[in-house]
Amino acid sequence: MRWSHSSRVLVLGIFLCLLAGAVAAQDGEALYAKYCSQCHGDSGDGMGVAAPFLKPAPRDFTSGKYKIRRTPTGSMPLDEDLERVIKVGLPYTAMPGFEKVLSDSQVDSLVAHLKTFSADFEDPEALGEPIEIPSPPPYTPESVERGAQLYVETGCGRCHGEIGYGDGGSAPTLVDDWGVHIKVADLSMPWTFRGGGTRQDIFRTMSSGFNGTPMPGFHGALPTEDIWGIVDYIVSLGGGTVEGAPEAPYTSLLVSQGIEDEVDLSKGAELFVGAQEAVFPLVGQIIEPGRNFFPATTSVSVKAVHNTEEIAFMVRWHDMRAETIGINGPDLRAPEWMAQLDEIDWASVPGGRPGMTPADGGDEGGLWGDAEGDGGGDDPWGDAAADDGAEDPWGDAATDDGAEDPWGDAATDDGAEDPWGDAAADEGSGGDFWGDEEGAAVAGPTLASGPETEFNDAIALQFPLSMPTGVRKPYFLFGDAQNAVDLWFVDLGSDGIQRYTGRGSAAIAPAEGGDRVEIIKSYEQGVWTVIYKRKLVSRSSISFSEDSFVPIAFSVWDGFNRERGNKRGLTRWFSLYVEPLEKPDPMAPMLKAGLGVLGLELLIVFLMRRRFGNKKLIG
Amino acid sequence: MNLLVISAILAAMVGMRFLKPSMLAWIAIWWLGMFAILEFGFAVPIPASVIKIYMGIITLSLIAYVLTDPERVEQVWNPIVAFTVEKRFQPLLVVVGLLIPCVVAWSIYADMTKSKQAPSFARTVHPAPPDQITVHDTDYPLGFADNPYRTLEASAPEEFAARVQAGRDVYYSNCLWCHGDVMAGEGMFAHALNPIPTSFEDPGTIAMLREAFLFWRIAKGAPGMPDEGGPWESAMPAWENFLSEEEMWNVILFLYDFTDYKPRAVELH
Amino acid sequence: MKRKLPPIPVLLGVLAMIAVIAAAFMFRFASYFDESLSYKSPTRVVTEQAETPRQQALAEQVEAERQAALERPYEEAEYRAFPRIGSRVAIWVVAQLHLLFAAFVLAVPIFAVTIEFIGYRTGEKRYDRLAYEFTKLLSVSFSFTAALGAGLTFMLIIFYPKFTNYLMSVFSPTFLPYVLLFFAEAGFMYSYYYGWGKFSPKVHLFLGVMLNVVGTCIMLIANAWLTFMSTPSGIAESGALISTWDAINNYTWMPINIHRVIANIAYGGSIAGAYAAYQFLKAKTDEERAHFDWMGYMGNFVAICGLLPLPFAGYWLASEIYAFSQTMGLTMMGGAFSWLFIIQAVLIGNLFLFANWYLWLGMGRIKGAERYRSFIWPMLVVITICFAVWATPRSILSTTEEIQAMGGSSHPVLGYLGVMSAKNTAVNILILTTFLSFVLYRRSGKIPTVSWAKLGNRIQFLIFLAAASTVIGYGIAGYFVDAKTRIGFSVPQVGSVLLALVLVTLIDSFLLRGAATTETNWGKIRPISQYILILLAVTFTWIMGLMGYVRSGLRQHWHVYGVIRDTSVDAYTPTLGYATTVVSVTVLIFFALIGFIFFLAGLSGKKSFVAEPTPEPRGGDGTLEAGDSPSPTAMQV
Repeated sequence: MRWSHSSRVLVLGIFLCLLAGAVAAQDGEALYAKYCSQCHGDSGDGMGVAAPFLKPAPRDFTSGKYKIRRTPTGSMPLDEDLERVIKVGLPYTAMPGFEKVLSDSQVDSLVAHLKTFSADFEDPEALGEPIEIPSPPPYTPESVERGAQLYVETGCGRCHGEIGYGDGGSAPTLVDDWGVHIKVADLSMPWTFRGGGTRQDIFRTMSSGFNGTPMPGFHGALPTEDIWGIVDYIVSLGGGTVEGAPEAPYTSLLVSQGIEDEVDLSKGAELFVGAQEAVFPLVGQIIEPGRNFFPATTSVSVKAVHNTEEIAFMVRWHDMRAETIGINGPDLRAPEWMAQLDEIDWASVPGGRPGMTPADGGDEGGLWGDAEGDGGGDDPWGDAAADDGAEDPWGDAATDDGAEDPWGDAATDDGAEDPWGDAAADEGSGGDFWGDEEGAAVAGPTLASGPETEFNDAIALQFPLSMPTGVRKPYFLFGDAQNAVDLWFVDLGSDGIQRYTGRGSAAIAPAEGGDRVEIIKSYEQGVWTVIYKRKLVSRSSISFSEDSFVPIAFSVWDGFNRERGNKRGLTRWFSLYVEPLEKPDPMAPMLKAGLGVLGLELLIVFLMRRRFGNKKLIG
Repeated sequence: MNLLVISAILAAMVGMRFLKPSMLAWIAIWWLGMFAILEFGFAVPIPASVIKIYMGIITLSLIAYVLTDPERVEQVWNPIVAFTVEKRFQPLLVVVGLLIPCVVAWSIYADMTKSKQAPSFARTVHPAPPDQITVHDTDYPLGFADNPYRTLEASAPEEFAARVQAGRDVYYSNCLWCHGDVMAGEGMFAHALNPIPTSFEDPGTIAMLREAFLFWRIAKGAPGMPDEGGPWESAMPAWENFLSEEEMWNVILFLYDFTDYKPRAVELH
Repeated sequence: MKRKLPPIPVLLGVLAMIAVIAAAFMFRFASYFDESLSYKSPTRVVTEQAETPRQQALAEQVEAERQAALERPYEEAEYRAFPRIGSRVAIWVVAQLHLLFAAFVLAVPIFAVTIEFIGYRTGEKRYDRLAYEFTKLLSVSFSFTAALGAGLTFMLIIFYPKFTNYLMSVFSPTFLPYVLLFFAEAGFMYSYYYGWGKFSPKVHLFLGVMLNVVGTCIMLIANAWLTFMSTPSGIAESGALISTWDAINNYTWMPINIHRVIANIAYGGSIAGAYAAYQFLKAKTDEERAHFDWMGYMGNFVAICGLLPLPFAGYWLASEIYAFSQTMGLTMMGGAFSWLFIIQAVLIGNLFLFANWYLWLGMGRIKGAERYRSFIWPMLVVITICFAVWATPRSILSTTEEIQAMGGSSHPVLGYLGVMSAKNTAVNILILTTFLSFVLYRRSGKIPTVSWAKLGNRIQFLIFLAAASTVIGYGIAGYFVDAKTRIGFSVPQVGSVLLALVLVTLIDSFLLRGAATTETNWGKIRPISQYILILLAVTFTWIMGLMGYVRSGLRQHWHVYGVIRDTSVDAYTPTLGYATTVVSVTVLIFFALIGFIFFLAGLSGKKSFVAEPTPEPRGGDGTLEAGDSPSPTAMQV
């Protein structure tokens, strides 16, 4: 009886699962229409209504190119790969995880629907043998060390930078199959990894590569233990989180540490050794005109110290390349985004809107010329990697070009040194897509110094001009009419610092007089470091008094991303706490409270004994 | 909710029954048990202010429980008296008597040396709108204004659907970055903002508001809020700078359509 | 209870008076003290001297000032400032005190007359005496009310002349009737009080009823003035009067009238209960204790009866405010004032807990109540849970880290408890549980003898169950519907609770007909219960102060909302902490004064108080039979 009963339940359960599955499959199309089509387009071509604002651009499902897979380079993804991306999303892109809103069966039906967009899913040749991800070996210093060596030998640093900060020599020139510049991963920030930041995730990315991008897969090219070595080195670069996914170390408070020594700028970073690091997230300014939908910088790291007289801030952020030969300023006019999009005559741009066309291997060149031409085919490195089977998948390409920059020639062939500025100018479309309509007029010929842009990298610290008395602060976007902000703006291409007073994004004026702020700056290994120093007390702007919270915010401009004025990365208001130089001694209050409580206890015990106790005890 | 932790705590409390603790011990067990559930029993921790309210209520209830029955009062009171008076407890009394001041002193030490927290601003999520706003030269009396296209839902379903679709396009080319793909306030820029973007799925937001209120918040954005809303740190743009009135009303239609909520109706006297 | 308790309220009252006199003295002579401290040459005697040029110039200056003063044109002042605390706080405190006394003076006659009537119908002396005991509190309170009212009027004219003038012009026809009614009120009150036992009962009852009618009319007029300030109507946009009747019958007039009558009863009952508690704690004999225990019980009973429908009247008022102006409604519930509603929720939760607690403690004096002992803790659990839900804030005060962890200002789990569905459910269940406590309390002294007792009990139980399931069912369903339907759900929720209240009471009245009554030892109650009564009164007063502030403060920078703008220095909304402090200080002053009144009322009672013989036991007749005999001796049917 028992058996038959449970088997009946089993059969019923299976039946229900099947039924649910059948219903869900029909749902796929409706679900796609509700949750996916806004970006990926009704027909799966990646040309949804939101697509022009997104970078990386939404996946074009009809191309059959999927980045995150557990299959070899060039192959189609497995169902589980698609499921994973739908569920957890791609960090730091517009692709969210749908885990909370979609049930497993709904995800299944969505996957089924996605596969209808590309015939490649039916093609047995396109389906690669899944790469097995073995259980990871222990994470050891030896493995990290070996990985570091392999990292150099394999040439990862050419794109990812010498120590992985995304500042490799060829990083500015990388484009994907659609001809759009693609930002190389910053290996020190594993929480931004598109494919996930766990060791297994990194292993998968290393093995399979990202189809449609310059990132090759090393499956078969490197022995498994070598891949694990590089994985461990990457893990070590990102802070060494071995278990689980690494989380962004964002905080909301900057603590300025009191020091006794002089605030000596010549010490550089040494000055800040004991200070607590605060990492603040940056996002694009999309509130005021001149909107920046994809800022290049995702966070700044800040430290602060002070003594009785002065306070110093050290701000650091990662930047692919230092742009220092142009101009920049918080009051530069950045064009309006919508206007810019509308003004471009897309029909005249070969390849149409970037990121919105099904790619055809770049044979026609696209906006940025025939960058991939040399590589040939969909996957310019596929062959190279396979042929060499070896340490340097770029060996050929790099050697052939005789340059660190495999696209250098290509760009030069086009008759322009600047593949972004000039190409756009040549096309005469006014449309450097990632720049702005000014690009056509300003960029190009006037800049003869290679792939530099006309805008410098820049940073600004923002404080209220005077300490807020109530809860009210100035508007976090460069202040407002009633409450001004003090901007400590540094154009990294020019000397010194310019202070501005902001009374709203449209009302920024150079600050008059006021206290001198000294700065030093440096760019090294993909990291900008700017150190500010000022007197604690000021009569014309904010004073940093001990044991108080001062609102602080940041703006970062990346010249490469053609950021200036309102087109920038910014933070919300955070707090700076100026630690008292002499911390209050807790001893006295502790003694006071302790003795007080003790006295109270004695009184209670005394009263209790008088009321209830026997006389003998009290004596 | 972390059911595992909660059931473990409850199981431990049930287990205590077998030890036959005294009334005083029971009260302590209950108090601590409830505190542990509130403090550790939830996957997303409950803010300290609410825990204080709850523990206050629980304390009051436990006192009421004891004081409603003379027997319980005695059961609680007698051990306390015995502990302070009887000789056999003298050593323990000394120990406890010294321990309590130490704990107090330690808590003061911990309080004075704990790491600083950024000051927070208790902002009003839905501040009161003005009586009237002007958007693109049109006056809207917010008390009476309603979505001009709402009636299409019944009268012209096709045009209504087209407007929802138009609103969808507006949403996904403007609002997506903060409010997210599924209206849950989890857009790709949300992690860097404070106040974090509103989740429209939350039953306490658009589901209890009128469309005119949404129109005000969309058209005037953060800068249009009164001070209790914290206009200086909200990242909501004043969309009248980017969108037409029609687009804003359409996007409102879309928000309700996507979330399946119904707007609060205008109440007339 | 052997030691004589110091009459703390008396001390407080006396202290307050001394403080007031001292303050006045200091104020008057402050300048004198100032001068006395200034330097005076000890050696030189000031003598008549010829005028120096300096003195001449000074004299000229004085003369010029005098001349300027003579020629100064008359200017109408808009505002004048009250020294130190400012006009607003001064008016605030005085108006609040006036209102607290007025509420008490209006409420006491309502239940005094009711109780007297019960005494008249049943022929029981103890009811009559209880009614008299309540009335004793009236006369001094009445004088206080009048004095504070006069003070308030003068202060309005002095400090807000322009605004007061406007209000008087709009409501000019109402002021003389108001004064006349006041005369009538005084006449009826004193004849009711002094004529106790001297008129024929019917005449005396008539006087009492008239006292109530007149008192209510006075309240209606005063309510018109103040509701007009919040929700004006009957005027042109410029503020010119169109119709006085429309100005009176504005959006919130009727809701306030209803809300105030009910709240006054609840509040008056609680103050009377506090008086009884004060006398109980002071009492020396068992007879006194028995009497005041019973009086406290009755006061509490009245307070709870008033409390139960109060939330619904409050909803009506709030919805009218919302209907008048969305801005005002949002300011109230979601804006600057929403935090006060959290405090209010906590205090109301306290009221329910205290009220139940008092009933449970009361079971201690009844023999046979032991059977219901085991019901107490489940009810306590229910009340605790409902209290917690009721007090859960919608937007939570939290640190930045907590907000980040929660992903917003509302908690993913607690968020569900903060919305209207949960709160309505919680408050309805609270009401049901309180009613259950009361039913059990009534039961504990009686054993039903009717043949269908068991069936009746079961039906009553089923009614409770049905009401509770309806409330909870609609509460849960409320999460799945839109706002309008959800608001509509409160009707069946409230309806089922009210129906249960009526049905159970009805069944009770038949069920307990001729029931065997067990022994009730009035006065044999734990003293803690009396402190609960006092706490109840304090909580009531505090809520009134806070909510009164919300209603008044909602106008924000308007004297008359949308018509007369407040341009004074006080035209801002004070912080939560400041407002709470002002209200708390007002409540303290009120209790100092009411302590003084208690003391006076106690004096008048002392001489005449003699233990009366045990009243005749009665069979339960199902009318407003809330308690049993005040006799400390055992009774058996």
